[in-house]
Amino acid sequence: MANIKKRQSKNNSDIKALMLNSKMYFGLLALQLLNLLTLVLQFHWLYLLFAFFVITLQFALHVKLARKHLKTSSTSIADNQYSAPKILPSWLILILAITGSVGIAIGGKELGLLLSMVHLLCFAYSLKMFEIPKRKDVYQLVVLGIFVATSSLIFIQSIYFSLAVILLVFANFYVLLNLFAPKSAVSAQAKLLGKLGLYSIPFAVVLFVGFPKLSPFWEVPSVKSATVGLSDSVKIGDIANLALSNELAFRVSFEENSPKHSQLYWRAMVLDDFDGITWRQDQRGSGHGAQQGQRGQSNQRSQNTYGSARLENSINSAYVDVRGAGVSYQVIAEPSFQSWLFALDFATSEQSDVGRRSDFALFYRGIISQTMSYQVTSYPEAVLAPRLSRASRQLNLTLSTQNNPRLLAKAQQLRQRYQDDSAIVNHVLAEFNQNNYFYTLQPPGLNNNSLDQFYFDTRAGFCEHYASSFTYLMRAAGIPARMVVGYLGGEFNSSGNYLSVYQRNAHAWSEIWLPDRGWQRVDPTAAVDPERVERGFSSNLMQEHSNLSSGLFSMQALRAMQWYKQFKMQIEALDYQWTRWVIGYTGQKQHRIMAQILASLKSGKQAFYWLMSLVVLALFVGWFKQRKVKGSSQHKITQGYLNTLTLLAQHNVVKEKSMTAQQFAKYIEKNRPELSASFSAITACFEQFSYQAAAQINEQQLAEYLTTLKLHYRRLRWQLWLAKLGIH
Amino acid sequence: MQTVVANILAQIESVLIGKPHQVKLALACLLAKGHILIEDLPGMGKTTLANTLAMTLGLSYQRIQFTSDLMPADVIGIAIFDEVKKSFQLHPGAIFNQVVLADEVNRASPKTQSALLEAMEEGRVSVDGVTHQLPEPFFVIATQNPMSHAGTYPLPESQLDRFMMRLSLGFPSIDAERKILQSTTSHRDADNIEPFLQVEQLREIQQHIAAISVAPAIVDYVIALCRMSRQTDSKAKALSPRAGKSLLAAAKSWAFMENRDYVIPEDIQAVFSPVCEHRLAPQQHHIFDEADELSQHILSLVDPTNPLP
Repeated sequence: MANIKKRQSKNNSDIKALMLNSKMYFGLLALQLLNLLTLVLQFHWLYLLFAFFVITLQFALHVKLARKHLKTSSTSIADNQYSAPKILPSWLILILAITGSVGIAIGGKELGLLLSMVHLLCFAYSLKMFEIPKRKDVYQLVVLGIFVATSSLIFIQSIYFSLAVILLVFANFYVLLNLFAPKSAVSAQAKLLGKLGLYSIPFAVVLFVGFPKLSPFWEVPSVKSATVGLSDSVKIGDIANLALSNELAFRVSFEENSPKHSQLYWRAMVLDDFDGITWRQDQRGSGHGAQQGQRGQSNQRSQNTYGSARLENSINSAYVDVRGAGVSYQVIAEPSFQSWLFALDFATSEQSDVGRRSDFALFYRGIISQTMSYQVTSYPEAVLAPRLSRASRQLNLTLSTQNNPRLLAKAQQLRQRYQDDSAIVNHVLAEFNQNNYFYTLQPPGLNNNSLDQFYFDTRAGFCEHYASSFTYLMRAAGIPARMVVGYLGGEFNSSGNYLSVYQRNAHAWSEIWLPDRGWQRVDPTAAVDPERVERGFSSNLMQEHSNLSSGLFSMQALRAMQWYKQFKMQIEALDYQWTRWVIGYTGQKQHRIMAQILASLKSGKQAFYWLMSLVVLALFVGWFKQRKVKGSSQHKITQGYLNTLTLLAQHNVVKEKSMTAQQFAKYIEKNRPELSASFSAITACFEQFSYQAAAQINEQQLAEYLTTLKLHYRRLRWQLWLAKLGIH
Repeated sequence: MQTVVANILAQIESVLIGKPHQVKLALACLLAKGHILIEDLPGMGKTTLANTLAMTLGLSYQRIQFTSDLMPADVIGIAIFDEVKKSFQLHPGAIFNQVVLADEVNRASPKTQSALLEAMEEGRVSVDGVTHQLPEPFFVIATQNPMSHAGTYPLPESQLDRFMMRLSLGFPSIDAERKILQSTTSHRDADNIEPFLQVEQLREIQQHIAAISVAPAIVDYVIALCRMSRQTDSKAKALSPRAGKSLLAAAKSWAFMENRDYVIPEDIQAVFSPVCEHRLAPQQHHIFDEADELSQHILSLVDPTNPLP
């Protein structure tokens, strides 16, 4: 009875105007703010303005109402309840909703499908706050908030952010819990929340692993996010700027031991078109120049990659003589909003979304807007392009402009002096090494990006200075050469057993083509500052680096502390694992894992038989036990009643020994009214059978009793479980 | 039938104020053909209860005041030579009544006590080799003073066992006491007590009670209770099968008064203490409605839903 009454009152409160307590209202507002904050980077400024206005308005009203209540009622603050304020008339909300939707629809072209949908969602969320007259509205509001908060994970997936979002989701749940059980203590609520969260973990894991991963039907927009890391055109000074960035570029875990630091040249792209100032990727060589000319400038980057994808088939210049053992590793690239990937030479990948250009660089067929992982096998001893096509040779000898006459003259001089190509290379490198060249992050300025000025006068520069002038010299001397940009080395995280490569590891080097030996990597930087290649930044450079890089993390003292380093390493390792296993769990991986599970099921037949026999044994034991119980002198109904008592005792509803069935039923009615209905039915069955009419009862009645008993037993068990979960 | 019983109860309660439970127990005992021992301090209303019970049931009734010089012949009667018939004729004593109130039974000598108690058990008396049948129905309501009072002979265990119940009235509540003090009529005025029952009716009721069904589970419960008292570590005296029989009979009667035609464990629990406490602890005397420790302890040890696991 009590149960029914409770339910009725609940229903009533669903219909009646909702009374919110001020704590609750404040919670809703705060959560709205936090939920929207998770997406703040993605918002259009117009919406930001709107949301800010809405929240301020609501908050001001809340403060006003709360104050009024404090004045009028002398009761405690926690008790003060007021119906949700009607801030705007419904017609205005309707107009707002329509204009807002239309606005988003118009702006949709600029925003893209996904962002406009996100805007629509958040807009609805903002408006919903104006209309919470009933309980169910609050419910909808909170669910909407959870949706808003979690949708931010589309854009940012780092572990910290994910944890923050999870916390936020729990905060939302907490408010929801407050709505349903406002009176219970905070600790009890937290406990319940924790419990429910714990229960949901298995479901979450199963869904995560097993639910088919659909590729998103939207394209994550790259418009608003600036490209990160290397760009496809390198001017002198670009990489030195990049070297000030502590941002993560990508992370690598090798399957076996990682190669030496000096071998870790991560090729990102090859720049073979030099106009005297800027190095670019070759456009003409692809043979699609005309086509690209027609396309808009903004699309050039993606066109570029797809153009190159076609190039894959032109084998003759991309021919590779694969030798030696391969090195396998997994790379997890941070979103760069570009297409190229990073790999050691000579890289092969079996992944279908990873392509390889004719210049041996890997690229992603699309824009890397989310953290992306790919598997690569590299053959360091492979000979790249033992034969060079005429077109390719010509391209890599082109000196588009003549604004570096001194270098040109020097090259001709060298050519006359040496017949052998490698002798020229060695001479230039020796000069770099011996003639007072400096490796610095702060190179002196050059007029008109003149390589002449650098080479003959200032003699101080970063890697691109050296690579650029070296490549120029080689071309001028008639050796096919080109510039390669990418990253050098990386920092090994021993606790996570992986290599982190940061933007500051960005590097540029040269590649020259020698007959029969193919493309050879030549790093002039190694001649100037060998330490840079062997171990990474030298202490000198490090000092310079930290002086230049601004902000909080340049604090030398903190960085020097061992525990801080350790701590940072641990956190980074955690982040890496998160990225590798959670973010990197793509549809392909899922496919593979499922296939593995199936295969192991097939191959592990023996284990399967063992498992089956164990199950059979367990069933047999269970059956035997049941039989033993049945074999006792008691009748099924008595047994059923006693089983019910055992069940109740498991849930801490214990019958005092001397209590009779009736007394216990009364006890339950008093103490656990929600169980009373089922239990009194069971008691009635038991009593009628045991005391009243044991002699006259016929088979049919007995069967009826037994059915009733079983039915109510199951109900009771269900109710007890619900009660255990905190649901009444 | 139950209305008659309810009327009887109401009438007794109007005389014996504030003790409905004890009155109900006493009536249940009589309806189960059991004898009652009422144990309490003087002036607590023992005699009133006995009196009223007897009068209400409409049975022939006599009271014997037991004293230390009371002789068995005073109770049973005596055979006197009839000169006309030239033979010994029995002059029946007080015991030849349907209801006998043996007031202060523990003040008489053991010889006299045993004469009474033999009659209770057998339902007949022998005088000078001639056996005389006692009237039917035959109830003894005995009252006794607490043992500590001077001039008493404690009843032996074997004789205590013959009383189905031992009751104690205890002090009345404030309200009840106020009513008692304010009432103008004396409880000794038997005039305004009307008999509610004919002998035939009483027999009918008794037959009905005997026919009340006792399920095996109840029998198991009684057995379990008795066995519990026989465990070696129990401080209590063991309950005999006769005690079990009395318990069942009293429970049936209780069930009848509760308008049921079957016995449930609650009936057993209701009558267990008055039926069994004096058998479990014959030398302890419960006065002033003290807790019936031993019987409560035994009750608490047995699970009525699963008595013999």
